[in-house]
Amino acid sequence: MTENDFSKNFDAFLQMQNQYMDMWKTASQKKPDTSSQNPWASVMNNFWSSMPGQDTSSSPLSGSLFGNIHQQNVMMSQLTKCFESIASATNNKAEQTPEQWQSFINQSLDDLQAQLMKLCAAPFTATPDIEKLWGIPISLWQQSMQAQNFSVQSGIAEGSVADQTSRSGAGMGAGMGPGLGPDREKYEKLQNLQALMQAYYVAQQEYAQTFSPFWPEVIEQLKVKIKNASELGDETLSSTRSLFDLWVDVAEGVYAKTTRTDACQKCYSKLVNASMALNKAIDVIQQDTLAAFNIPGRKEIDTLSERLQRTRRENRLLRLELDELKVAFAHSQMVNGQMANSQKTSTKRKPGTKKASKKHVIKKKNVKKKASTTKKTE
Amino acid sequence: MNRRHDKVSEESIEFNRKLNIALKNLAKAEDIDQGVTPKTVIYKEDKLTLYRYQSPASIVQNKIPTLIIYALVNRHYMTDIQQDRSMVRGLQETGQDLYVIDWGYPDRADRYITLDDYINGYIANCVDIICKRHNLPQINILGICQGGTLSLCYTALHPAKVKNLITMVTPVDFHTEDNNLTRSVKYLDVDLLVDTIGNISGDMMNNFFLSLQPFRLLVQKYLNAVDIFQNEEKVKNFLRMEKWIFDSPDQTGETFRQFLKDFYQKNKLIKGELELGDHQVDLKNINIPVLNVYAEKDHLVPPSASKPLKQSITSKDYTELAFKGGHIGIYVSGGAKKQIPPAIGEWLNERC
Repeated sequence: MTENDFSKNFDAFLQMQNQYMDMWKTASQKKPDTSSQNPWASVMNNFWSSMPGQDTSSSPLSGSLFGNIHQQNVMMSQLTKCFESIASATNNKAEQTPEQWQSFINQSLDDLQAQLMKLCAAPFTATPDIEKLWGIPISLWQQSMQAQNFSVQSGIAEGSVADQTSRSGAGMGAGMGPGLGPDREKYEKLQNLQALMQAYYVAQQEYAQTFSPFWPEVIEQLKVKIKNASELGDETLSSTRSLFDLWVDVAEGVYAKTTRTDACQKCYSKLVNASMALNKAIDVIQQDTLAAFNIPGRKEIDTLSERLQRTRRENRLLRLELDELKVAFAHSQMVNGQMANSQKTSTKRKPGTKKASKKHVIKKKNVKKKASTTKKTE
Repeated sequence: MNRRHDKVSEESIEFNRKLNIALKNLAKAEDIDQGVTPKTVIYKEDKLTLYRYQSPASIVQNKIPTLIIYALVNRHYMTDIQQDRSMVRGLQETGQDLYVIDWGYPDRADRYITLDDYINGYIANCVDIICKRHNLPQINILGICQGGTLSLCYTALHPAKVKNLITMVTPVDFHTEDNNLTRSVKYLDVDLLVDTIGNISGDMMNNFFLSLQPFRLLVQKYLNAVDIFQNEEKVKNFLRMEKWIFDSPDQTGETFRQFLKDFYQKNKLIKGELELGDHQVDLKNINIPVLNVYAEKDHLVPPSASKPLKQSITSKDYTELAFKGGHIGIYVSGGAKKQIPPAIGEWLNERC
């Protein structure tokens, strides 16, 4: 290959890489939808910004906690609002029947459910928050991809893969036959990547689907619990906080029930596996790019690390073997020394030699006796 | 239910008042310390450090030292998190001479460190060093959580090196019905996972544990914290715990691979099929005195996962100790401080 051929191929390769990166850039630049933000959140944000001492620079740990508490307070406020309206309606209608009261509660909870369902509709559109807790296990796997140059996950999370697939049909040869010629391998890698993207998208939809009955069930159970408490005259649910705790208990129960099912675990694993397969395919392309620039990548470093660790392991075993040999050698030297000493002693004391020979004879006799007994028994 | 509009409003106002104080106290909190008992560095190897806790001079020492082996997934200072709730202090008060392994923070260069390297390499080296220092053929081992499982493997492979073994909240049977962790990883392609990302980051592990009880651990906990934060000292205690929970080292890829596949997915330890290096781990080799401590409300290592240890070993001197609490409470709760260290200390003193 001449220098010109090389630069021509290299330019073509770079161009392809650039196109590919542009495609991912477009896919990953969609911002999370904030239109469904709870109005209480904005109230709390204002409260937050006006807080004295909100400077968290003294401790980063405190800083992250500020955020958590703030988020919980927003949720608490939302529940307070809901239950305040229940209480208000109850007080305003002194002669309300228990049925009317229960129906009002149900109405309020249904409103809450409608709000939650709206938030659940797109469980991967924003950072995980309390309305979308089942997004956490997935978001954590997605974090593993942050090190990647391509922000693939956010693009996929936006549900833009379908668009990408249709758009990239011409560019990447979706649904077309195998590639031919010198770029065949690269082409195949991109096709593989596209197939993995689709698999990931499908797995994501299935996982989200598993949780679709979650909030309706939580609200239903909450209604029943409140009704029972009301009928029994249970005073433990007399504060918003106690209602909030009940909400947490019920939600945790339903969550545990949902996630313990085999179907849910399969969906979850399918999604993680799909995510890893996609990540691995991206990594292959990245490694190729690095290799094109003659830069060692993760693959080479891993090879070195593995060899180094194997050598260290072998050294450890050799050291152990050497220690054992040293002990055995020292032991044999000690035994030899003792034998040499005893021989010296025996040559000096002749009567001892006689005694020893007598013992030897006795032993031999015993052996003969034993052998004869064995024969008899047989 | 007696719910009045004005009471609900009052409650809301009161909560916001408390929140204001809580946030002020939180903003005042400085960075917190790790571990309270003074300790000395005895040995270093790669990222591992072996420490010896300095014992109070007034207490008569048990002649046989005890090595604490903690899990790889969290940091060892959990056992010594604050003055009034330190398990280390509690054990020292019973006369125990304590060493602890700090695994450090593995990075990507450590990806190929295996369980064999941890058990037959690092742990074996630490035990040898302690034996040499004290001129003893064997020492006591206290294994906690995953560290307990590692201790069991070590003891099964080197029974002559261990005088007494204590396991705390240690999984032995990984396939019990109530094991949430096993269920979560049942269908996971661990090879693909490790081949793709190498080491498993501490953040990923944390989020995974949080996802087991997300509403309680991410929602309720911080709301309850507002009450705790009314007191400046309690803010510090809360932050210590918070730091420990999220101070998680990365897991080396190969160790994670074997731990998930052989222990969680295939349950090889209890079946006697586990192999480390060239050796098969047979728990039946353990015939020394064993104390097995478990927590009755443990959602990570349920008692059903710990208790089968009794049938898996051949020790005639086997004791169980149940704690009425959870996986974390067993080290840090006031109740645990009163019950667990004195019981372990007494058990050890009777056998040394």
